Amino acid sequence: MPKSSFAHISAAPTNPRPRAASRAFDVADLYRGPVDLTEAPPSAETRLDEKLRQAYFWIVNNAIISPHYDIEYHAGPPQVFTLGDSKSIIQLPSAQSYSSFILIPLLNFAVRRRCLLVGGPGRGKTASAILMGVLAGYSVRDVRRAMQHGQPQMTISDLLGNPLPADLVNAQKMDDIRIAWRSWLKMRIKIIDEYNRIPTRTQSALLTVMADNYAEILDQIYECPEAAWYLTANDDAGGGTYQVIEALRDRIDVVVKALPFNNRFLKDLLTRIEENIRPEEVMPASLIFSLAESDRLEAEVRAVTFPPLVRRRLEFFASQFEFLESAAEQFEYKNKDTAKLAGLEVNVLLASETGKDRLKDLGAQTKNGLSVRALMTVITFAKALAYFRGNPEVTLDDLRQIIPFVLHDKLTPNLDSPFFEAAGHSVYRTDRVGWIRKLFDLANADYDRLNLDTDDPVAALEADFERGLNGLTEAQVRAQLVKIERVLAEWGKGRKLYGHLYDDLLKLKYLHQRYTNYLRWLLTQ
Amino acid sequence: MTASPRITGALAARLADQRDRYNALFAQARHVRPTLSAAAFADVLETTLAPVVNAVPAAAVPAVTDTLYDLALELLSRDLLGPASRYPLITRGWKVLLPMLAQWVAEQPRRVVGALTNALHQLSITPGANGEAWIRALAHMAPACTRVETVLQVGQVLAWQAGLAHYRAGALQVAARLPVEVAGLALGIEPAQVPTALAVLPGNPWLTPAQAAQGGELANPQLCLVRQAGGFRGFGGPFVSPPVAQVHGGVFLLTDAQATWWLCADAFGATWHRAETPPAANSGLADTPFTFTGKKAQHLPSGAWLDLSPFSPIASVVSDGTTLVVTSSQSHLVFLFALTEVS
Repeated sequence: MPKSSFAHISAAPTNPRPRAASRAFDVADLYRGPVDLTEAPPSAETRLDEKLRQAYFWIVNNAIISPHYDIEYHAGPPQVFTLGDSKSIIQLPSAQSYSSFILIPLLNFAVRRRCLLVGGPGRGKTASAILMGVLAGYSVRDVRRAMQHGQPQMTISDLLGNPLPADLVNAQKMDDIRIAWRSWLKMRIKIIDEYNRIPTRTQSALLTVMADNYAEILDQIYECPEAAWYLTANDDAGGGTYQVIEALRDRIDVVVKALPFNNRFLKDLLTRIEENIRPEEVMPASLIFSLAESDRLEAEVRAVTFPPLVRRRLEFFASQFEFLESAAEQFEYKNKDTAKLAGLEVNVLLASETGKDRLKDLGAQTKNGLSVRALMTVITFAKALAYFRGNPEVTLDDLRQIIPFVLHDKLTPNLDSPFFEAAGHSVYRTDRVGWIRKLFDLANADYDRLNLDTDDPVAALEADFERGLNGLTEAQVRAQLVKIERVLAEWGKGRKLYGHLYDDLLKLKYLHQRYTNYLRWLLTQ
Repeated sequence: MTASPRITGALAARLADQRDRYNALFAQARHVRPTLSAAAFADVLETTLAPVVNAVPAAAVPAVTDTLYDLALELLSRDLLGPASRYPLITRGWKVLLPMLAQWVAEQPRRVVGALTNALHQLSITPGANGEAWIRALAHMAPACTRVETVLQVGQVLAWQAGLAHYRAGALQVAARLPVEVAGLALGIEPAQVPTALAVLPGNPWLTPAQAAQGGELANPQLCLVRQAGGFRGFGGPFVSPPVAQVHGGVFLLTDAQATWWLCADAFGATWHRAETPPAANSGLADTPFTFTGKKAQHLPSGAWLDLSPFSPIASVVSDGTTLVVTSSQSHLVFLFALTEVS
């Protein structure tokens, strides 16, 4: 049921008392009364994180019926209930929690990335994207008209624009041809509806806009402004009328599912029908972000601190997946990319590896590792989530909550891994978010078991290196080299090679090489 | 809701253009307040909004319509506007004033319309205030105003003269900041007389601006009843029992069996305000030019005197130096006396 407009504040004073006798009257009080004339503070002073939260709560309370709290935060131990034959767990969060279907698109709005909304038809994917357009200050009409609808006959001209016919006839050179660019290209919110119904050739043109922020026709370039993208699809497997090209799928930064409608809220739908209410038409003006505010919002998100200890855990998690010992002889090539480029099935090679605990090896659960782009997106969205919650720095909980949505399409599960055969784990074959969150939890448990916050020889060597090479004597450099070699020797004593060790070893090799080069230079002085 | 065929012009065009949005706003408001009447709102659109919107410049129509539509919904929902309004003065003010102030409404829609609405509300709820006179006077002065600020300042000066006596001091300060031509119009005197009037008025609340403009000297002063105020609560007054008067810091305090009120009174009206009783209030005539002996009150410097027998039994006699306030133990009224010119 639509609730009343956002947060009405009781008029002050809320505990009025008779005035003292000597108080003088202010003639300005003539213009105070039932109409509130309080002016909002100048936009430069508006707290944008507060505004973002207000937008979230307005949407969940008035616009999209999404009574879900799948992004759970806890202030203390939550209450947990087990139900059903399969021992399904329902957890009652003890702190403010959020619906991913509302929150993730909002975070995407803040950081201007590319969000894919997936789910069955009629679940509110397009409605959510339209709300983001309204939040950016566009009218509903403009947003709807600018929305690009994927369809099998969509051409590049349909998507980007057409050369002016007169110019085509009269032009003596390409530069003379002017292009009538489509108006959606200049918008700060770009919506592609059913992007998996766009023909492959047109997908390539879309990729250029998404990836490089420009459109190109007949050598004419249109530079697009920074924008938040919203793409919708009925499935996230990349299938549809056309297979989505890998490069385009890879440009998606975050994936969020539209959850099924909870039928206990049917009354709200009934009211909307009867009252003909369209929430996108009545978004309060105070929630709308101007261009300047959007720029400032993005800058403030980037300024959120990423604490070193949290960063270390992300490094540890991310390093689990790339290593594939049997892929190559050269140490630097021992990764899943080598195998893929050679046309080999990664899962077959993983299965052939013996000696390691394949249940414990997190890398065995995936067919690929994480790209630089994926890591940067994780960092960006983690900051956005921390910012949304009003915190000055990212917490481990923020990482835990956001990573599954960012890596949803980035980490491909190796379903042949024995992990998925273990008791209670078959659910992770279908629950991608749950699986990635489980991966993160397992990585953190391993991190704690290894006590890496306090006992990390590579971190100690990194710290030494970061103090700089200048001024080091030959003896000091040789001492560092010995330290590195000693760690390598220690690790070589029958230690199994898991993913995180792979990155550590390459780092040690890097440090060793830097010191070696410096020593050679020292010896020539 | 569709734009009624009786609504024409710029408002009709705007409503048609943004039909979905305005309909959604109305639906949302009615959801919060189910008694909101579509017919009443249509009437407000036709009779109250249309004249204003159709009078503003074309470029301002969208912003003005949006603001007035929102305000009208809000006020109608609270029975402050429309045919069933608790305060018909507000509706009347919208109909008469806003079209005349269209230029200023276009410039700052919410500020101008909101401020005027709040002023009309105050005039409506203040007993004895003459809201109609205020509307007429402000409408008459509209052509003389060159800025939004001027309109609002003139409104303050006129509100005092419409009976909001507690704004006297502030209104006189505002008048002093107005251009003399505008101040003269607002005070009903010639521009050349404004400085004299503004110099005299603060010292004598019982002078009108026209009298003050003459210098305020009384050739034949008499101590006369200048106003009676208050009354029994059952008949619309503030008191449940005959009050007793005190004065504190130049302010008259009237206390009955339940509460204390302070009284602001002058030539244009009298207003009451709840107050806490101060610890040290003067209940007599000390340090004033007045005396009261037996039943006779006298203004010593002028010699003017008055027999207060008709007001017996006297409960209290106090003064702030200019005004003599008398209460009776058998009346809920408060009697104010001052020196006036008797021709």
